[in-house]
Amino acid sequence: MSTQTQSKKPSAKKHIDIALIGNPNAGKTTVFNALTGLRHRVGNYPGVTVEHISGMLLDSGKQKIEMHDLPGLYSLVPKSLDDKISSDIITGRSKELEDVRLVVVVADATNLSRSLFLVTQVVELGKPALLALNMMDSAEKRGLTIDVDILAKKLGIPVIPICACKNKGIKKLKAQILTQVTQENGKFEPSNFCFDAETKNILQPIQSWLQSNTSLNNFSCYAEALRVLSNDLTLENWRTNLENNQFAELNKTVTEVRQQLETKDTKWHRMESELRYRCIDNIYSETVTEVNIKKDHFSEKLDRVLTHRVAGPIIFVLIFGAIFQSIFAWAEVPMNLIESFIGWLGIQIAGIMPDGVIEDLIVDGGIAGVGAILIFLPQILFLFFFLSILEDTGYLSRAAFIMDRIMKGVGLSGRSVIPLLSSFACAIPGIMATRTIRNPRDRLVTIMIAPLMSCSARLPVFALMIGAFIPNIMVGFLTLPGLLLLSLYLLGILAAVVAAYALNRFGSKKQRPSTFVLELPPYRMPSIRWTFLQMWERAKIFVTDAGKIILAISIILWFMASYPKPATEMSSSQAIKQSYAGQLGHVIEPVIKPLGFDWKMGIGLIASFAAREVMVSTLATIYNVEDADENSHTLREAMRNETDPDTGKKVYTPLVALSLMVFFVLACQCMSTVAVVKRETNSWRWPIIMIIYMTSMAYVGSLLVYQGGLLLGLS
Amino acid sequence: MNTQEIIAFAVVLGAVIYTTRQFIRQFTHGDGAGSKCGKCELNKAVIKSSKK
Repeated sequence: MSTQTQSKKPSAKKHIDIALIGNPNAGKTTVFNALTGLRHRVGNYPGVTVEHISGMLLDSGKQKIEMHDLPGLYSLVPKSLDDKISSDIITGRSKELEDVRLVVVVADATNLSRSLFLVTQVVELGKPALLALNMMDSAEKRGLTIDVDILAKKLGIPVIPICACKNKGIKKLKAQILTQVTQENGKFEPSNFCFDAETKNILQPIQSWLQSNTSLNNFSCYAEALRVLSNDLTLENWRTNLENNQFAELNKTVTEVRQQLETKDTKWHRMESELRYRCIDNIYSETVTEVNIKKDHFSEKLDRVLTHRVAGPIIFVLIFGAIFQSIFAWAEVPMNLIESFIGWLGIQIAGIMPDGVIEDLIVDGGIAGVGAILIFLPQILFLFFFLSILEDTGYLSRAAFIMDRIMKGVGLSGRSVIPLLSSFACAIPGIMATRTIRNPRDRLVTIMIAPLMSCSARLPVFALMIGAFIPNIMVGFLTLPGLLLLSLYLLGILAAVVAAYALNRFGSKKQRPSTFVLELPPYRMPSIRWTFLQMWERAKIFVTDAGKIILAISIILWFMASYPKPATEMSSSQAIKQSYAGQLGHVIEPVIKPLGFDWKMGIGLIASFAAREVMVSTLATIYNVEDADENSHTLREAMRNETDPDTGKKVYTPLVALSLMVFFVLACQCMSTVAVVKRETNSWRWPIIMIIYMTSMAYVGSLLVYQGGLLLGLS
Repeated sequence: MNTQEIIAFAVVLGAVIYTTRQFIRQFTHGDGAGSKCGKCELNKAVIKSSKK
């Protein structure tokens, strides 16, 4: 999911805004990407787009046409924050996007009946609209034939059949959009087909009031009157747009109509759905022919096993175990190649440049710091390769279904599952995805536990420690490194479950978890093109975004580890102890000593607040500055060789490595996560609570592992 | 202090400024009315609902 939002800039050119909406999981972002040439994140589960994102459809000399991809919604009645943004823009309540020239509705052709609920609502607004009928190939495969011409005639808007993932029909869709927006008045002939004379008569008092007191056009007043009558949420939504006395008037009018209906034993809260589905059934029967409907028996059979109450979680653990094993096995060759290249580059530059401070800065600061992180790029890419395959095949949705049971067990809504799964890649999109959670309390708890899901930034730290100190032996069908990595991810999940339970139990009044409805997409072959595109994007983000801050901190760390220069001749290990980094490290050492950490790790822990990966580059910089004699060629070797000058014992042992990894699983060491929590909760209170509770948990967890291990005689 | 040290310190200073700027931007991002996130309707909705 992207967090990018392009803002509108003042321009002399004519600016036209187009909105792209549709049901969740209808393929809106795929259509958006195909039309604008952008690469925003798409997914086959709802909640991937939770922000309003935009891109240019046309930027010619005379005009700019900007397309806005809005969060998915089933109806114009908003039930969550992301529903509200889409609904407000489409209904004209948004102050930022007041004048949307065209609404492009993306509908899933395999589920047309459901999609038409929103389509008919949009058409009845009286705004120019266009229906992009997506996944036509899948509909045909299932035996559904849709007469597009009749559908267009029935709806009164153009209908373009497309298959966005294969880029079919996109040119025609773009041409139709451009035609519609460039026609000043358009050929749009709106119809409020769901309303018969009797319904109009019932709605008349509310319709008249809306027409006289709001800016809604004559045409859309009937549709809004029906929504206000049938739904309290829509009525409440008007409270923010009207003066108090005006809202009281509207409320009174609505109450009177409702009372009249109750005297006739008519269920007013069902009015919209009954009317609309009656109308949809008519449209559907006249436009869709179902011939030999093929049920997806393969998906059903597979689901019986993969989502089974007992077998499901076991398969989930086995799949992720195999993934973590593969990450270590497959990434070894490219990692060694990068490691050799970085080493070679350092030697070459040291050979070319004259001895001095600049050479030290480039080799010990820049190359050592950034290079130490780049080594782990193959592992991160393999992780994203597997996650992308799991998502594309439809398995991640099943994983969400399996985790839903666990979430409900600790009092959370199943809606928390998707944000938590997103957090395995990075906590930031995960936290933003909590906007789909309707219950504010559930949303807050999910935000608070999302950073406990092990994100990809932790992987370099885990991989460094496991690669250096954990023997590569077989344990059952898994290797010990693979099994340990899987255990670290499971520890994160377990900690999140415990934290959610505690926050729910001690936070405030217990509430009933809300229902979670997740549409399971059919299983399909993953798109290799899309998988590699995702890996490429991820590599770019890692090298450019994270790379810059890693380089900057490596340079600062080099300075701190190199200065002040000793007045008298002494060994490099003595000199680094007297450096700024050494002095700072020795101040914090007593606090972290019980966890098995030395002062160098302490510096790494502080620096890694900027980004977790910085732990690795910090250690690399410190060891490079210290290791002036070049006894160790890699960071792993330097760590293995490190001995305590006072005791003569090894500083790093498998137990210390385990303690450090547990600390990293549980600690909140990410400036960006804290910032996004502050933004999403609009307060400093929750990010501060998050830092305190996660750091305390990390300290206690690490302490138990290290001291417990010592008591058991481990080292 | 020789020329090499002056250049190295300038680079270190640049790194400190960049890191500090990133740090400040992370926490102020979205707060200003004219900022990218400040303009996003959904963020406004999130902030409004959080105030309740």
